[in-house]
Amino acid sequence: MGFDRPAALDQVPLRIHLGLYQDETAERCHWHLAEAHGLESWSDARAFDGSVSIVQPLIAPLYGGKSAHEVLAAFLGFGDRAGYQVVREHWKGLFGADDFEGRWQRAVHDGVVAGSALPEKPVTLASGDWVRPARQARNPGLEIAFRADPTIGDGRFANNGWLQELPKPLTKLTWENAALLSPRLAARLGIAVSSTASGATTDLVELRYAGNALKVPAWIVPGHPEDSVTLHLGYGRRKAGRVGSGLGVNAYALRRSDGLWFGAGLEIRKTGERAILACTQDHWTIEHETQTTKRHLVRSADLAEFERNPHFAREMSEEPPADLSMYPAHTYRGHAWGMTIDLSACVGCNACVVACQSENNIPVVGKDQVARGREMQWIRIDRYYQGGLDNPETHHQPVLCMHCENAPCEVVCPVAATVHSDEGLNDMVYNRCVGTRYCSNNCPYKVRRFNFFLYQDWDTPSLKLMRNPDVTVRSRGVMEKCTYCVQRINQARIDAKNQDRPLRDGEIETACQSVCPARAIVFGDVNDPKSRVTGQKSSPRNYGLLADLNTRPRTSYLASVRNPNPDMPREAGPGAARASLELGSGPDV
Amino acid sequence: MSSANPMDLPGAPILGPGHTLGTVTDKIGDVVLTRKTPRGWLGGFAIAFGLLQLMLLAVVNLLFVGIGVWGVTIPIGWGFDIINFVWWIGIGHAGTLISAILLLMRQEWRMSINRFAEAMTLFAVACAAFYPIFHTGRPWVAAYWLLPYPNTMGLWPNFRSPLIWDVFAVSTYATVSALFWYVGLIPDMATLRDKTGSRLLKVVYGMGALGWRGSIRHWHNYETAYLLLAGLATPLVVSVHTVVSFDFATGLVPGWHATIFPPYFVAGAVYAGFAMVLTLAIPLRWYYRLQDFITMRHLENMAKVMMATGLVVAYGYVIEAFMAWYSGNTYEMFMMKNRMTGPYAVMYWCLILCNVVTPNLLWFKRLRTSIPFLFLVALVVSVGMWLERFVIIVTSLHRDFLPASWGMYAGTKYDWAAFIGTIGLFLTLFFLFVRVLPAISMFEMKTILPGSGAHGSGGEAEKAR
Repeated sequence: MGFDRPAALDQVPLRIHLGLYQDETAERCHWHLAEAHGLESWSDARAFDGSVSIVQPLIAPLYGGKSAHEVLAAFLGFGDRAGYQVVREHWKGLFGADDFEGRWQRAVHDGVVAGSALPEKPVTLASGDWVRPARQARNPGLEIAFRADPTIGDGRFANNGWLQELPKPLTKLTWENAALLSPRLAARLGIAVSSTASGATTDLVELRYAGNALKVPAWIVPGHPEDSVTLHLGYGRRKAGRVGSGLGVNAYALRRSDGLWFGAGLEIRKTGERAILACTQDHWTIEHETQTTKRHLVRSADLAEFERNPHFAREMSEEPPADLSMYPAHTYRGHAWGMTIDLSACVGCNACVVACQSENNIPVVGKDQVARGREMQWIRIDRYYQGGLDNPETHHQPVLCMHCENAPCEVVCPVAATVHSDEGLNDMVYNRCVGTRYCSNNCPYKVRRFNFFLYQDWDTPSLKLMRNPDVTVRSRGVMEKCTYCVQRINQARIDAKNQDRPLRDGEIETACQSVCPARAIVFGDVNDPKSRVTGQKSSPRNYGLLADLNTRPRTSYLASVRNPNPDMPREAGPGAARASLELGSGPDV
Repeated sequence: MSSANPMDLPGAPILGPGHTLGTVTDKIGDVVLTRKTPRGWLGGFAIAFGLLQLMLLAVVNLLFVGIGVWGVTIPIGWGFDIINFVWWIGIGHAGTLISAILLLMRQEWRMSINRFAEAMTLFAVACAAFYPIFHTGRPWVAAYWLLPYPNTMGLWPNFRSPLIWDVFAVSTYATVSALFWYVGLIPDMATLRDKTGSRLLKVVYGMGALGWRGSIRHWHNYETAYLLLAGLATPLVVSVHTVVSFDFATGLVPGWHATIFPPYFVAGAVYAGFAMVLTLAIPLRWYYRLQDFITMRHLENMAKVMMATGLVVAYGYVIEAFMAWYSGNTYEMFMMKNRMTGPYAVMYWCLILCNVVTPNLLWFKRLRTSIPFLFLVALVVSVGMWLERFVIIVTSLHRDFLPASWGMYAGTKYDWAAFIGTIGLFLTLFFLFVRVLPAISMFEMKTILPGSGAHGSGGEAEKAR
């Protein structure tokens, strides 16, 4: 986030800014120096245990930038000493002249300086400190809480289109921040959120706190504390760059140094104006909670229920017999790819979404298009609430192409642009696609994405370098969707062939799988009885999403089993009874 | 003739009194051959042509910017494009029904309306054809891949897809309708050729008449060809909209996946088609003073067909709702509840008002024979049928299986421009048609003149009077 207090900075007689972007700080300086990105420069760093890594650049600076080391070296009178020399000279001093070259080479090669971890320090907890209660609000009324934004942090990533378009966990908002408040407070204020074809419309509220005022769109978050409003930092930047300027509101304008993270005495007022937000999953999942439960989309049980009936997930729906199709079944003599996603493990962190976007050259489409429901991400995290609005359980469900065995999309495509491969993949043939969108209409999972415009930026040079050369860049009027990272499958197949050996289980990792911190995603060959994915699919928790439609999805889910601490209060207020996911007899149709 | 022939029933005549062979030719032929283009025609044409320019705007924008200028999105992948396609195709059904089925059933009252109803069919199909071609946003690719042609890649279209069936159904229908219409025009073209004083028109109509001299042999061949074409066209009346309904019925989307769709769509098409014929016939007969040819009998008959098919359509709505409940299927039940009470409930209830309540007013003879009322009902029915397609397409898609993927839809200004543009295209073509070709079949009208024994059952007309 650029420094935004000109008065203080302007007193400095000479102001030089070294940065990646010509941002708000650069604007107030006499000089701006183009900084080399971390991936373009030599450096060194310490890990959490003190181990030293020598940081190597991945690429020569694209725009002739200089790293901080190089600039400091210049100031210290070393002329234009290159970053490599600076780091190397530094370590020459530390390693000593004795076999320096060997040690340096090894450190660079290994990525870590052997034995550089710092000794452990014994620490003791100051007695009684950890039971100190959180600071109480000074006066009753509303409290404001400031939080780093879940995708762009404190604002430093505001110019990153992938992160801007990444739906924020829980709220599923993109491209801006909002005043997050509880359903009860929203009802008290008379805030109405509704969905329209051009986005989610909501009330613009005015927040008054400690003498400052800010107009922010309100957004209702089930489970939010009632008398509190959360505002994410990092938005409202004037000069973040081509992507990030002028989005959202600047929460720093309300923040005070005497209460950096929260403070009491907030006043909130409905302005009567409306705002449009780009939300990838509208609030219907709140309104139509019973629909979610009746359809058994997310299956979950607590430990006791699971122990009583480990097959609870499979018993929730009936799968039609496998031969119930007009068309002959596919046969797989070689591999047959499949995937499982463990809902017990998924924390809804979104890493898979960005990994997929990066791997598969998925374009960023902007707020207006997202608001119209045209976001392009191939994997999304569906969020469902369960059990009342005050303190619901939250469920995350990553949804990507299911690569159905009876794929509804394949039958309806008039030009055979989406076809079944002999390894069970549901392939998209981009140059065959004419764009009728029939496949998307007929896809019950709605995982297909359409290039309504020419979303890809063909001209910006840096974006050309960003793209994955193994993945086709799609043009206007073409449907696209998850391919199970077919390029990775093919690469692994080629490697195996070159080494004259069969493909090994686990050798192919899809992009989403490889970044999942919880290891929730497992991909592999379901024809191989010993593969991990086959093992996962034989779990009693394994179920197919909407499998009652006879789509026979290859991506299946492992139902979530939760183990809540019985000593923790489960619920407060109405709706306290935990709505079992097996509910299906509710009055709502 | 069976006794159930409506010609035998009491009622208004199908031809005004006092006409001779000459007056029929003059009255109908002069509309075309007059040198002075009527002011009203010029004004109407100017408006229609102006509306057509909206289509130009919409298409240019679509081709250069992309399909995103329309309101379609994920999950509502089809919007105005397919709504309007089905709407126009439905309207296009009346022409062939009147020409072919009523011909085979020897309903002679069809003779004064079949020509312009057939023309209307062609123009409606042209408007409909606009959508499947352009709704991909890249018609140059669509036209290339959708048609089956032998190629070195050995690639054929996917014959399992209803959209491919659509390509065949609609193109066959357009071809047969055009042939049928043209064959019916040949004797009249010859009449115009003989009647016109202009050298140029003589050549033009003469070429159109294909050397028609009116010999017995010509008449014999003509009658055979016309009957054969009628036989060919008859199954098409049923098949085209059946295939169009398959676009939905074979899908698994709740609200689409229903076996009632084919008959329900065909009835809806005839219903919409007759409404459009009435919408065109009423101003046409008034402006060109053709009350003797398009009599109250015709209007009333059309109103009756409209009411009967309207009741079938209403039955379709009832069965849809019943099956949603009877199936016990969560998705179907929610779909129906969402249609009736969801964000598009207004559309649904307007549809019920237009298509269920309104046609039932035609039970009353006083209303049925009031021309302004009939005109109004015809317009209401057209709106209702548009709403029906909106409800089927949009409300089914916008909330399907996964609540996390639900969405909302609204047409953009370019959607409206394209839609109004096709109305402009339709009217432009219709204005041109009534100016250059006889809107009522002259020679067929002559067969129902008193004393004329031609065309099978000419005497029946006299009997009826």
